[in-house]
Amino acid sequence: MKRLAAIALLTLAVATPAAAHTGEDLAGGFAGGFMHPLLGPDHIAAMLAVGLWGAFLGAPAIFILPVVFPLVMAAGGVLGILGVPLPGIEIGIAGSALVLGLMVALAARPHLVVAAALVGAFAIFHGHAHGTELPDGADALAYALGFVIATGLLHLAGIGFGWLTQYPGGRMAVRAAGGAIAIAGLVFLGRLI
Amino acid sequence: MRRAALAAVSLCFASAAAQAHTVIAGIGGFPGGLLHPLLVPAHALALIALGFLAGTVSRPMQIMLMTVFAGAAVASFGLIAMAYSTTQAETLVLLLGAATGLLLAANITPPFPFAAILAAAISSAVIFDSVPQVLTVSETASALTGTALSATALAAAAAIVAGALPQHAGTIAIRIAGSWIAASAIMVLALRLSA
Repeated sequence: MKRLAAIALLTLAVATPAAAHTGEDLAGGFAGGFMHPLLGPDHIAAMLAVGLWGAFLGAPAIFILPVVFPLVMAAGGVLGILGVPLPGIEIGIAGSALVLGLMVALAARPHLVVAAALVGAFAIFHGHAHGTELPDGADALAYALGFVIATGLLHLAGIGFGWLTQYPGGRMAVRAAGGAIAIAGLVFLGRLI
Repeated sequence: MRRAALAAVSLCFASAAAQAHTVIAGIGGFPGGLLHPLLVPAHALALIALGFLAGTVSRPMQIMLMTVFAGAAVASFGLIAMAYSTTQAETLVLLLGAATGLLLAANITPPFPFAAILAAAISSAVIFDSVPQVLTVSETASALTGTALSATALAAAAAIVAGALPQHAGTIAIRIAGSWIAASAIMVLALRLSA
């Protein structure tokens, strides 16, 4: 009985409240998620390229691509969370910077469906990478929201720079930026192979 | 000694339960209830998504939707008073938040009956998921009153913001916000269901 009392008291001493619904990890979860895409140069390059390409293609691609990307990224994230293996994730992410950068550099103007499908295909890889690192617990939604918003803001940064396409010199600057992203993608790929 | 052991064991259970649902430690009752929908991301996202959806309909329909929302909160309050409870309320909040986010991303304004059902479901799910695990009825009642008030205010504020945005740019901003809400909720839903 003494032992039972000792164990119970020890448990009492270390017991913490169930953390399913506390707000304590909220800021940490959001910050962790927000920084996740920003700390990966390959993620940054690809997201900027999505925004640049959207701006280059004009309406409705300028807002369809930033809407399609997070939704398909979520599907990729679900695959990562469920542990469904996806081959060549890092190659897919690096490849997205190369291909999307090239699309901007070459001023490619495919049909909106083709552009959305291409962007969506690469979003699967980005989502899978984020999804496998999604923490369990109370801050999971804050983390997910953090990296989705960071991704969206990178798209907006690309779109912002892409507004330069309205000017003759700006169009060349945007294509040059696309070229730089493609070269960066090539470097990322080179490191992986 | 036997009594001491039993007391210690009961304290173990009591200590965990008493704070299991406090968003900020030490803030309970009405203020805790007020803060609950604002500080629980799943609630805030679902309520903002619903508000944005309400912002896309006409002003009389907005008022009707908010009335349905508040009515469902009161009805849920009544059900909780009759000792009804569910363990799946958080999953339901995420599911409804994801569905509303998808509607926004796809720029679909549902017919009023569907929107009203959605508003009632989100309201009930938020209230059922906000029941504090406290020992007194009065504290539960004051916390849930706070939750109902702030949940209605948050959804109404989001509706006002959505309604005040410029026509074209506003639609784009709401679609993008909807895709962010849906994407976040879908991933966390997968996480919860896979656990």
